[in-house]
Amino acid sequence: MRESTFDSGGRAVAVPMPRRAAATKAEYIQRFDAHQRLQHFLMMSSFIVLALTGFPQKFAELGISQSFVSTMGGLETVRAIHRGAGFVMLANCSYHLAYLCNRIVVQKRYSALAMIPRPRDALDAFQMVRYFLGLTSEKPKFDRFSYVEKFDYWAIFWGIPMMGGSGLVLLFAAQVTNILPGEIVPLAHTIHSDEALLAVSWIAIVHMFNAHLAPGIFPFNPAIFTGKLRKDRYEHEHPLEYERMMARQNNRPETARPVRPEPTDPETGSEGG
Amino acid sequence: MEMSRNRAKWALLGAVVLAALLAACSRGGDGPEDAADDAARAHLTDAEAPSTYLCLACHSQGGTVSNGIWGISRELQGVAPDAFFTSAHGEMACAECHEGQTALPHEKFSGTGEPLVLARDGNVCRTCHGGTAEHFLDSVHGTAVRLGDERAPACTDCHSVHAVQPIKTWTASEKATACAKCHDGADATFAGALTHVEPTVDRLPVDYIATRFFGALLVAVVGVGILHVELDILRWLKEKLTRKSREGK
Repeated sequence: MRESTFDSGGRAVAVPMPRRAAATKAEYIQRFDAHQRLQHFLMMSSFIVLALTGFPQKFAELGISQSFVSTMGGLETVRAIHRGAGFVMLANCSYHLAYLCNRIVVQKRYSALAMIPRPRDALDAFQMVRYFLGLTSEKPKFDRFSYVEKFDYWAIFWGIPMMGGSGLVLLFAAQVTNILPGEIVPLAHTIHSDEALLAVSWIAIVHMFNAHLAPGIFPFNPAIFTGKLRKDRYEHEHPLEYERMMARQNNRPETARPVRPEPTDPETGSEGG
Repeated sequence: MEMSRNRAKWALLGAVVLAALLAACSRGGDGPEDAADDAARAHLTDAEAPSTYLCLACHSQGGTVSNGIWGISRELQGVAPDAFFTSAHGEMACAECHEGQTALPHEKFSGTGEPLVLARDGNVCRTCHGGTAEHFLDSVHGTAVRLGDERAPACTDCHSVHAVQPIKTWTASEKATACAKCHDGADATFAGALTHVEPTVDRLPVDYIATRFFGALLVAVVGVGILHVELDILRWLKEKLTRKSREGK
């Protein structure tokens, strides 16, 4: 068992700790609710299936693609699985949008709005580059979501209409061309193929690194699966939100039971999840 | 006039060969070593590739059942002479596509009763239509061919086997009819955008722009992402080395 502390530069340093001591000392903060975790799981699993069944079609000239398709029982089977996973992803996106509507419009809980890009994100990115280049010793302080997390999220908002829309056009090509010009079919093929390469490259290299492999996070960040993030890591990775949560907790002494504060909306200070 | 004389000459020769073949078939199962077959094979060597007329002596009789040289009953592939001679390939000899089929019995015929077909991956067509065949193989249809899908369309499934016409002469409804063989509800609009050439500014301009746009987007987005990752790792390495050197002192 290892416990994290931080060096002068704000970097997490792993320090060995006795297992029992760590288990009792570690305190967690709820970061994602069950809906968000389920949405991420569905997105992740459908994405993996789509990539595994889509890339052999994109790179059909490779022997490994032909072997994979043959092992799976033929192209028709692979395409059926691919389409099934595509519908799971589209259903998951509908689930997410309904979840957002319910949370914001019905429940009046605004923490999800923290995902909206703000000018501060550009300043954070600029400061991060300066930090990388050694021009400053201070990393930017992030709120509930860093600019990298926001980019990941909004990239999906761009990618889903591109991939889902073009996929549906290819699946129902004859019906679609009863309404739209025939040029829509080769256009959809281009978009589906090229956007897939972009999405897989980004997720496999950049998202995986930033979410799990980056210094201070390596080897794995369980927050999106367990919903919880250890308190010290929360303070390190999302200091602005952490400070706000602690300030609110200090103002409400009746909540001084084991620390499990709900994240807050950064703009309004109202409770969120 | 000259052409008519040629046709008559080859038709006569074809009739003679056909008679020899029928005689061989009637003996059924004598094997390739049979003297008559050897004589036929010697007559039809690669050096003297048969003309279309000679092939048509047998193959114009679609549906004719032959017991063949191995005694296997099969139907001859029928070719309508008029349709072939007025097709885009009408000036070509059969053996230009059906390579190796210049001897009797046809060496590439498997003898299993399977019909003799051109390779589904367009290898034969590629000899003359190189760029088109490459683009076909990169398409949805070509992907199915490469991945061994039984329903994958070969070139001849859409362009017909022996009555192929230049695509420029196809009417919209002819294209739609070809597509509708597999795609229920396919109409002229559906077929209108199907092509086997790279998109250009003039042909499929939206697809052309999309190809460039997504290529640039891939390089820009993933490039910046990878740069971010690399800078992060380099900064971490630098800190680690600095800390080590401090501890060393």
